[in-house]
Amino acid sequence: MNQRFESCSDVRAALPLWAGGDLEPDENQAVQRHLDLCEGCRGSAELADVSRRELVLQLEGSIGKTPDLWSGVRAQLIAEGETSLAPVLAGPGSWMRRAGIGVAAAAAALLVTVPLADRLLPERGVTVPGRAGVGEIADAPSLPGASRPVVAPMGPLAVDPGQAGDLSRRLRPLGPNSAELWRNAEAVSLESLESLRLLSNEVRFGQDSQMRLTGDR
Amino acid sequence: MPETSLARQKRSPDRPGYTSQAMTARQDSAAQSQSEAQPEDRPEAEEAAIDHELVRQAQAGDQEAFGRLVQRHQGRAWRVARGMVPSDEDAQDLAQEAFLRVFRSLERFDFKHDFTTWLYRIVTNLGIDWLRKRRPARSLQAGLEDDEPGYDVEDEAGALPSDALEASETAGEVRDVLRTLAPHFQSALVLRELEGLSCAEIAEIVGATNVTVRWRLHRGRKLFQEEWERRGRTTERLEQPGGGL
Repeated sequence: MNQRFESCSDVRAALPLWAGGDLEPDENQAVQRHLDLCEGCRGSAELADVSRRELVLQLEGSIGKTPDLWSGVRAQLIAEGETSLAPVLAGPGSWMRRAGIGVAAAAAALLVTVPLADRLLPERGVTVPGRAGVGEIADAPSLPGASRPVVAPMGPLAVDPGQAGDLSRRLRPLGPNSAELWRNAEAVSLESLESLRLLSNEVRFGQDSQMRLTGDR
Repeated sequence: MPETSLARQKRSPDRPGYTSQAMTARQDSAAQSQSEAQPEDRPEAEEAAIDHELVRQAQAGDQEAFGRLVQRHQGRAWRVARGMVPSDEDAQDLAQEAFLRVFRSLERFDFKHDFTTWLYRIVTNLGIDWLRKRRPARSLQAGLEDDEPGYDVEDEAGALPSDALEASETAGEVRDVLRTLAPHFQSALVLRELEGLSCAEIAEIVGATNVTVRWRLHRGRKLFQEEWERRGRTTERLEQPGGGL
């Protein structure tokens, strides 16, 4: 309010703020000057002041002693399981902490699950990627041209690394799609030879080849 | 300008908004200072610095630091909550919910602002939400924008429950009248009259301009006075010994 408080209507309109001490200093001065001269407005000011004081006093009186909020807050946080997590993950750079925690958790998971998988998965005919497990054979995917995918979990087969060359020659199928497969056969690892052997079986079976595998089933 | 002793106390540095822990912390920090005359704003600055440090510690995982924050400011949260909602139970729930929200949002705290401002904002918003959910539907539209001219009290006394009308406690009547006001008016009055905050501080808390806050105070007090006079309580008070100026 920048207007001057010269008229009674202006002054009475300002009384709610005047009663609470919320007028600007110059405004308050102008109102006070008017009140000093106008008995009618002084009466209105008194009413405004009384009602405001009543509001404050009764409001204050109705607010009892502050209860202990911390116990309730803490109990709720514990119930939500947040007390140990949120503060740790919060704060500046928290994304770095999260990333670090995530990496650590992933590493820990790998350390636990890889050895477990190494022990459990072979029983189900599944190889662990990157592991040179003897006699572990992966499920064979379907090949282009094959009528149906053949998933043939094989039993353990001992392979002498020194006999890899003999093995590839022994397992060379006669199917028409085999040439592409065996073109790169010499470049593959010993473990992959086992997978290729299974793949070649699929080609053979898919074309009703007469060749028989030896020592497989 | 008439000013009650209570209002004068509100505007002093050691206003009731400070908890006993805050007083102790301030005394400890000022223990080496032998001067009794401190700048008016220094205690608040020290308190703000203490709060910021506690927030940092809480962000780093110090649960005890967060507990200290709660204990330092639970008085504020309680008073604002209780000033806006009619029952102790609801007010306690509201105040606790405010601190839970503080905890969940700790990492987003902006250190450019005081913790008290942030807490007040959360509590006030929760109070406004609480009031809006429990107000009659026809009164909601009047509470949307408080700077609209022509806003008036939504409910006449005849719409209030009969047991409230018959209430003999003055405090109960005050609350009855307050309940007729829009949530924004109530929150402005509570922050101003109970907490002694300035219009500028309230403006920062509620996200409004200084002018808007002054308008809400003006309308809130005016509407309260009109209803209070309608009930004959103002005249009653004036007739009591020492009831006037």
